[in-house]
Parts: sequence; C-alpha cells; structure tokens
Amino acid sequence: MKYGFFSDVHANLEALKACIVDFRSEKLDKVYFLGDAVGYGPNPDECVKLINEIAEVKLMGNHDYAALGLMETEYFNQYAAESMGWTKNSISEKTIEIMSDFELAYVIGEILLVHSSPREPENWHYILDMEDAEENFDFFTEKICLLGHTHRPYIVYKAESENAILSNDTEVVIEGKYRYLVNIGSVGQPRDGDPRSCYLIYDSEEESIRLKRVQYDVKSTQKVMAKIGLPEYLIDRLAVGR
Amino acid sequence: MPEIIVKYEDKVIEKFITEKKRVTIGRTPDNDIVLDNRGVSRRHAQIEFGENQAVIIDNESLNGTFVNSRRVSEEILKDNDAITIGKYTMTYHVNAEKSGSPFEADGTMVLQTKKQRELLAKDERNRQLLAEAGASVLLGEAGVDFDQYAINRNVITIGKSAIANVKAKGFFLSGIQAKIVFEEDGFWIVNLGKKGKTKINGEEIDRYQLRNDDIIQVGKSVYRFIENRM
Repeated sequence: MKYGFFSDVHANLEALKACIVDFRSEKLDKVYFLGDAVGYGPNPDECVKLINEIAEVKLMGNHDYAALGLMETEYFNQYAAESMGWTKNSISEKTIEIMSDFELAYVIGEILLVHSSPREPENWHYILDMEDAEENFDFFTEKICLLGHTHRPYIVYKAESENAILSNDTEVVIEGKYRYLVNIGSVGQPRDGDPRSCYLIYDSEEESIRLKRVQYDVKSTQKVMAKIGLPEYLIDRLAVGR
Repeated sequence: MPEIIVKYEDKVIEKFITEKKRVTIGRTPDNDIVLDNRGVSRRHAQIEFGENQAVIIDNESLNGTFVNSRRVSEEILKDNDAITIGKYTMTYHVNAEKSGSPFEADGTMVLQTKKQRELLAKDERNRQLLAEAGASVLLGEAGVDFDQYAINRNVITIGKSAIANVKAKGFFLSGIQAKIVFEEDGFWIVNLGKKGKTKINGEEIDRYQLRNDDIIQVGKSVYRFIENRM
C-alpha cells in the first residue's frame, strides 16, 4: 500500500490541485491531512471541501482552530492575523462544520499523526531545532511520528539511548532500530527555500518514506491573493518559498 | 394597558393596571405594589415599561426575584410571565383588556411556599457553587463525567474531540460541536458542527445568548448553565 500525507495547505487551491494530480500519478491508496487547511491563502472554502473529499483523516491545525473562533490571534504575527481576519469573515457555514470535525491526533498502526508536536499537540508548539526534535521522541511510542506546522520538511531518526540524527536524504528506508520524527512540509506555503509544494509518501511494502515536491502555478495563486487584498508579504513569499 | 395580577399563596389580592413608566415593588408603603412580608426587601424590584417591552429589574434583593421559576437580575417580561417574590406571585399581562378574567389561572404557575423554599435552596446552592468556582459554571446533568466545569476563559469548546474542553457523547457528533464564547453582553453558545446537535431547553440553536439556568444539550450530554453575575 502507498499512503500520502499532506499538510499546511493554507487555502492555496492551485497548490492543492497540483498535489492531488500528483497523488493520482503516484497511485496512492489513501491520503491523510495533517492540518492548517485555511489561513494565509485565498481559497479556504474550496480547499476545505477538497481536503474533506480526498483525505481519510483530517487533523486540526492552529489556523483552522483560529478560524473556528476558538483562539485569540494575538499570538499570530501581523500577516497571519490579518489574513485570519479575512478568512473568518469569508468562510462558509459548511466549511466551519467540516473543520469542527478535524481531529487533534490520529494513529494508523505504527504511525502517529499530529499537526504541531507529539508533546502537546493542543498547544501548537514549534519543533524548530534538533534539541526540540530530540525531546519530542519521548512523547510518542509509535515507530513514526508525522507532523507539519513549521512548513520546513525534515526526517529525523533516533535509536534508543542514542542522539537523534537529521537525515540528509529526502527518501529513507525504515530501519528496525530507529524511530522517526518527520516533518512532511507544506503544500500551500513552503518555507524551506523551495517554492514547490511538499508532501510525504509512505510505501508499506518497501518500508520507505519519501518527501515529494510538486510544481504548481504560484503566479495564479498570487493573482487571486492580490485581488482580495491579502498582505503583500504573504503574496511575495510564495515565489521564494521563504 | 399592562396589567399585573398579584397573588398571595394562590389567592388574588390585587389587580394592578397601570400607565406608569415605572412600577416599584417592595415591602414599604411608598411602593406601587406593596408586598407586606418579611421575605420581601423594602425596594425589592421594579418594572420599567419601554415603548414595546417591559423589563423587571431586581434591586439586589436578599431573597431574589424569580421569573418562571428562574432567578433573574434583569429580564424582559413576556405575556403571562409569572414573577415570584417571597410568597407572592405576580402574573404579567401585556394588555389588561385581552387577558380575560384575572381569576382564571390560564396555565400560569402559582408557587406554593414549599416550591418557593426549594427554589431558594437551589439558588443558594448555585451561589455557593459560583463563589467556589469564581466563574460561571456548567453543571453536568447527564451523559457527562464531571459535576461542574468552571468557564474561566473567553472561549470553551464542547464536543467529542480530545481537544474539546468539555466532552460530549453521542452519535455523529462533531469533534468540536459547539463553543461558548464570552462577549461584551454575556455568554453565547454557537453550534459549529453538524446542524441540530446543540439544543437549549430542548430547542435546536445555531447561536444563542445563554441565560442563567439554561439547559444545554450537546448530543447525549446535558449541562446546566449557571451564570456568575458577580
């Protein structure tokens, strides 16, 4: 079986559609969504509808949570708060209903899915360095923990009572002695310097995980954002993936 | 013209028809409606008549003012509402002409002394509860695994998700089925998830301003809202 895991769509419909085309060409059996369907981008309703149709499991991200009016946005940066204001005013009742059923965490066999961190998924912590990553290995028992939230993909693995190691590769074969903490990157707003969408494929026969990049029409998303009047900073960053 | 029918332990003692903008109720003779009983404060409550509505205001009385068995501090009166103060029950009629004979019970609740005592005892329990919690609270009534939950933040969520502050049970419930938000004018409950799964006093709602003693039902879980007015 081949499984796809995608996260942080952030209402970027062009990017999501390009990824869905790629899911088909990769012949994925099932896909799972790790949170942040909305926020920043211009097409929240369309993205939530599509995600709901294709994904087996949908997780709640902090932006989805804020869009439901469950969190103050004072901790958001200026651009995130501005786009969240627009998002809250523009989303439909149906979108709210769908997002209200997003889950906090989910376990598929030996894989744990969370949006932000296994440590306290409801507090939306960021795993920003190896120290954070190392610590978080203590907060899950599964073989693999997949997450999103920071928009920066990485594969970290760790053997019992050894230091965690950051992989240089984007494709890794799962080995018996390691456990894995994997950030699957962002579909709608990559920040690792590569503007292409990112998601993860898990092949249960090959026992491998692979970060996959997908080209999408960035200009098209930027145009829609400009038309709505979303912050320029958010529009510009899509082209550079920062 | 509005009419207030005053009963003492089930007996009509006064039929008060007025054009005044304000009717005061209390123990001392300077009130418009005098309720001569120790359980009644000197200036217990008043009814303010506006253009299209009447509002009863309790003047922080010791034993409280009840509208349809619910303790109120300020409440818009509807036709046939039963106001209880001490051993007295007053039935409010928007229009005296249309209300028929004041001697007809017309389904209005008349509180017996025992009932009144029960109401006061319940109110006292709630007051203790609020004092302990220091916030408005949800009491678990059915299908919940807590006795009380203090609403000590601006937003709380109710649903079956692990992320929900207050857990609810039931088939086809959304993870976060509803939220209670504190706004300038009080607490509101908003249904977020599937339609028809949040009910207040038996009625399905999308958005509703909570009042003290409201019964909230989310799926199979039932809570009572006790508002902290301190």
